[in-house]
Amino acid sequence: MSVTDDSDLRLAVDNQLKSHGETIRLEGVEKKYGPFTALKKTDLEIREGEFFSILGPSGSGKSTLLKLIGGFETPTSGSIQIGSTDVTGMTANKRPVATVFQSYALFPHLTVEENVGFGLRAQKVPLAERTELVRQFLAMVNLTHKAETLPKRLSGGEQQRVALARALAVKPRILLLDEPLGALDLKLREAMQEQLRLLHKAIGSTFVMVTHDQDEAMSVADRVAVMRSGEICEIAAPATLYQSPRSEFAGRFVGAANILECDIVAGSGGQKSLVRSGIKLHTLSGPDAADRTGRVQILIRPENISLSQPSGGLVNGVVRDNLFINGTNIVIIDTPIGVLRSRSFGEGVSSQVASGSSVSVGWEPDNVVVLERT
Amino acid sequence: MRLRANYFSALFVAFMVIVTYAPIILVAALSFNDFPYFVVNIRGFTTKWYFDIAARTDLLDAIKISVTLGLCTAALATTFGAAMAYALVRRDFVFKKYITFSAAIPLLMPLLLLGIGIQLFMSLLGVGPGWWPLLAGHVLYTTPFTLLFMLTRILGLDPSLEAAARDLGANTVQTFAWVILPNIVWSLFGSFMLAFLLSFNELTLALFLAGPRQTLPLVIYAMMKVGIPPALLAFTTLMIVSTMLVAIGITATLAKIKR
Repeated sequence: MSVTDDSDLRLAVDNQLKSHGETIRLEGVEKKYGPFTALKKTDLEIREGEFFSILGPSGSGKSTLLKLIGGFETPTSGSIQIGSTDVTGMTANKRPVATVFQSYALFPHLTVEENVGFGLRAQKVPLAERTELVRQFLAMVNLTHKAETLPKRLSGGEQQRVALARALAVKPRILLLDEPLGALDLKLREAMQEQLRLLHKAIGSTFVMVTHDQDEAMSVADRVAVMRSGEICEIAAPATLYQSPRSEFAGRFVGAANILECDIVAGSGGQKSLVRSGIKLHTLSGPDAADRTGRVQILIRPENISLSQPSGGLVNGVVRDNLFINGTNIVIIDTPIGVLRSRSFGEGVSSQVASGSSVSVGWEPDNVVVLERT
Repeated sequence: MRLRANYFSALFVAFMVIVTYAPIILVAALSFNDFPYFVVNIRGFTTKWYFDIAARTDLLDAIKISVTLGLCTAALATTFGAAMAYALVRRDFVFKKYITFSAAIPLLMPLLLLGIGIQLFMSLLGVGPGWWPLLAGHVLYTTPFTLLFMLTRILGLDPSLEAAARDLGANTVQTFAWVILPNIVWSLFGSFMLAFLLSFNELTLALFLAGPRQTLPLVIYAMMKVGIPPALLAFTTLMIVSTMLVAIGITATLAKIKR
């Protein structure tokens, strides 16, 4: 079976299969396991119908957050609302939420169609109607021909699609996805990212996806929350998060970054210079400059670092290595301000420079992100 | 070298089979022997002992009592064992570790001591030997076995299956009936069989706790003093053959299900 077959969702989603999203509001939600705080006091609003992703390393509390929304755990304090309903004390089976589990959790003793129909059976949907809905959801994930197969006879991609169909069959206002693509191979994963996004548009529910893979989060979500040691440290749209992260942690987590620590030196007219190893790297002005003193970190993405002939840029350096990865040139340069990485599509100087040659490094001031102290 | 090793293991297997089955085959052979005592004194072929079974009301009563006791014990012990195993795996409570450990302690206790203990306890409650104390004793004795049996199954059951069922709107009863039960039903069956056989063959506790309604092992034990009647050999042979047929049937069914 080819990769495209395995990821193919038939996205002509009928009106009958559509749902509509609901907002999720967490107020002062905290979760402790004994002395261990898995989630520190959190306020969060996930908008109606958006594709929200929770991104973080393992142990950052992202799964706890998902369990609290799904009703698999109850918060130690705080309240959770779905739409206008307070669901804090509500068990999972009463919430308008369905989950695609990391292990898929398909019922091993039931066939594909019985798995998909499980939620409808629990809701006592009449058999005729149930059969018809199951048929349509199976068609949506392109598994009609596997209706009577047991889950263990399916490939990983097929199991994942059954899990999706089973969760969507109950027409949830909110769909939770727990590392949904983690168990798939790279090619299939990339194809599924695209399919998930289309599916989200077609179905209309609020999607909340937990992942540790920044590519996954950035490529499918409308907004991404970055989590670290039990708290959300930043929430933004993927492009904003990438281009102007506020914290060093988020900046590094969502992509490769050059991060330089600088001294703030006051200049004339309220301007302040950022200086490292005696070299002025950036100028702060306006309100940005007013409340900053001491030291600060700046972030520059590798693709924003340009290379030129020696003495043509801001700092001179020596090329340590020049790598060709995924169609881009990664040049690593030793400079007096530290080791920098530049990335480009092989145009200009970067494709030619070899290890040991001298280059000059520069960047546009607009591409410098001044990070907040953490 | 390799051939010799194979030779040796084949010999070993043959030896084990002979040692295991010889007594059973002997019993089966003597059940057809035309001689009214349980000794190796081959006189001739007869099936009359098989027809004799129906006349031995003492044996039939004992069988009835033992089967009833075994079924009741198995039903109770399997229910308790499964419920305890589920609670120990899925729920959190104080002293859980110690409770798990203490639940297995009766396995290490000599049955003789357990019997004396139960008898003393019963006399404290003012209850004499009888069918109910014996049932209680057998449940107490077999539950650690069913608990361990069910523990291995429930430990292997993915907890996210139950989470998924709840998530899709199933209540506690539906989650149990539609997800948990179908996934543990064969272990429940195995645990039931184990408890039944332990109870059916149990003598020591029965010596202390049985009242006037004597179980089969007690009756056989008593008969050993006056001589084993050939009808018992015939009955034993029937039991072994039917057990084997049932076992073969179950294995074949299981193989079909797995395929």
